[in-house]
Amino acid sequence: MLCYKAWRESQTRFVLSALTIAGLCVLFVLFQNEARTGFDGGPPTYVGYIWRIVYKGYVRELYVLLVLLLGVGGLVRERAYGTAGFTLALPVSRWRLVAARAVIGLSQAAILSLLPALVIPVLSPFVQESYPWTQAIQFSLLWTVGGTLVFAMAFLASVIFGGEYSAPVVAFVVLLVYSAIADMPMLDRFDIHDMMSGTGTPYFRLDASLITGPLPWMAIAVILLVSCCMFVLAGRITQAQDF
Amino acid sequence: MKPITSGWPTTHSESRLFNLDHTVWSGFLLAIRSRLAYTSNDDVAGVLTRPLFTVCYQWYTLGMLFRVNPSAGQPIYLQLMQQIRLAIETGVLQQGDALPGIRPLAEDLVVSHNTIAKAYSELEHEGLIALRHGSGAYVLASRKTKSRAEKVRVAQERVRALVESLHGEGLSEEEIRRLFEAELFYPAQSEIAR
Amino acid sequence: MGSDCVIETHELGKNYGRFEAVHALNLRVSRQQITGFLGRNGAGKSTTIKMLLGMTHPTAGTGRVLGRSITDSVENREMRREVAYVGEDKQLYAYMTVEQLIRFTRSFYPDWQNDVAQHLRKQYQLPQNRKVRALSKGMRTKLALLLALARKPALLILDEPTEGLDPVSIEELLHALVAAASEGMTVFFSSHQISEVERIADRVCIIDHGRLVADLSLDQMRQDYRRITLGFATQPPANEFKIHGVQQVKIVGRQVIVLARENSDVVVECAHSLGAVSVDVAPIGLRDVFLETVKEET
Repeated sequence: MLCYKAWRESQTRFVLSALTIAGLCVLFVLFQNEARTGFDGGPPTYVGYIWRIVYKGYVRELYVLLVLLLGVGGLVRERAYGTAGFTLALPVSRWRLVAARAVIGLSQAAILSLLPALVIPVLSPFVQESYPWTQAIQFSLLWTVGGTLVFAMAFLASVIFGGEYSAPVVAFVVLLVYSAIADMPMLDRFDIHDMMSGTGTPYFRLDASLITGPLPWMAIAVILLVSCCMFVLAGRITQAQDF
Repeated sequence: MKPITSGWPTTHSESRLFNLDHTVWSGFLLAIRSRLAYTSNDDVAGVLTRPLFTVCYQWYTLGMLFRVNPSAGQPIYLQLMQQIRLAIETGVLQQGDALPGIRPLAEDLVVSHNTIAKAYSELEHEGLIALRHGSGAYVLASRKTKSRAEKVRVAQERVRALVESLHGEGLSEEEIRRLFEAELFYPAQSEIAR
Repeated sequence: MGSDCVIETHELGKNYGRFEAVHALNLRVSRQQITGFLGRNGAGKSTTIKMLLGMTHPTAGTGRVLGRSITDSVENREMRREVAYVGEDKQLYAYMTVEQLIRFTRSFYPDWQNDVAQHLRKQYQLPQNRKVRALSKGMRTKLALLLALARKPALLILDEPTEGLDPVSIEELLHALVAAASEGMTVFFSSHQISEVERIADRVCIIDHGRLVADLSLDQMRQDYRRITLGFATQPPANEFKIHGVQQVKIVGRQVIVLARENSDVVVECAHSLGAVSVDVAPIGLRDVFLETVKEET
């Protein structure tokens, strides 16, 4: 039932995020004709267009922000609402509370990342285009990994910072700072945005706008490990907190 | 049988006012006190006439009505015991009458059930009531208490008249109460004070 | 007292930096009694209760609730299966309906009694499908009470349960506590409302500035605690009332005011032997005991 509670707490955010992402994908597919004409350097291929709009640009950035917002919640926020006492009086360990929220949040991030893969390949034939399933699924996987890191960071912030708005604000600032720093040339390899979109990576060919090479399993493992550490840290902090 | 004191430091255990003993007097005192305490906003005549009517009304309906004052200087269980004793001695509660169960009475008065249990237990010790396991408590009125019922009723009238006349002379409720208490509990001390 | 104690603490303490919220607390709460935990705002009542339930970590001392250590998180969790808590924040999950919250809470307690829960729900008139955010404070408190009572816990801990409630709701809540106690539950509730504690409690623990300053039986207080005002025609004698049980002796002009926890008749006799011209023995209510006790400490 703790998972049920975690789901209900983020339900509105999740549903709105899902509708937004899916809705945008639908719009971008249906209006691809008009949209493709507005690019500098001539209209791109359909695949290129989808990559620029969805997997590199607007939808991906939106995905990162929405996943960050999913990280909001937890006992510190409940304390501001006044329900922390009720939750903590339940005969469950604080680790279970943290784990339930983490699991639900990660599931939601994964589902959101799958939405473009569900919408775009299905809808493309209706506009006389096609987008390969395999590409969409691989991008979804990259997004899930990136989303995990972002969610973990927001999750950690939510455990440390109290009040209703401090945690997401701090997480957002951290994200901005990180994005700025990772833009610097020598720190390219740590740029999660590039990892998610494939820009400048060995597994992505810009001219065809396709993922061609093997996915960076080493980098993915490291990212997941870092995220895991953040969750464990969040759990440790929660364990030691006084409410 | 354990002797029950009213809780006041008693150097004299009996007072022969109106020829009734101490325990019955405490009951009257409590009735007067509670009557005066709860009608502080009324005018003097209203204080004396209205409560008598409502007290009678309340006693004749609902089987039995109890009132306890948690802020009084007397444990609640003793207040309850005095009211039950008074009711038995005046005949309001008669042999075989059922007293409310411990739990319902506790909930009704909103006091701890330990209080009610203690009051009933002490009264059972005195032989005034009998506790039937599970089905509440019943009055065991002895012949001695039955024969006192009339005496107590007459005394009640005399007390009412006395209180009324004292009010008429201008004494406040607090002063009247103090006079009764002083007479009851410290007849020696009140002599010194005079 | 060992097995009779549902709550016992030993030198329990909590510091926030240099501020001592609770200091060397030795609390003893007995089984099947209603115990009131009385104190001013900020005296440490909530902090103590939160330490008992594992929400706050003590910085000193130990405690046991229902025989289990409060500082061990596993034991504390086991203990919480048998303890019901109604907090001073009268908030519950706003997005759930009454029925959903009941089902949610039920899943954590194997000893949940659904018929009791439904009976209480009807008695408290809580609409099944109304969201918690649409309930008034009084109704939320009743819902919290329902969630606590539907399990027949061994111990019911409440933190300022009547705070912010209207008189009718207060009456209903006290009524529910008395009913719970008469069913065998031990009730431990904190309050700064003296009249409520005086009414339903068997015992009172008074806490002030984080320290336990009094632990008394209300019946004993009503029976034995007295304020004896003595008048003298001459300069009253000081230091004459060193009788066991005398808590305080104040001299105001030609009057001596003695506060005694017992042996007030001995005090009266002593006063007579010293030639007192007037003797007034009055009971001390809980309000006076409380005010005198916390005044002494400041």
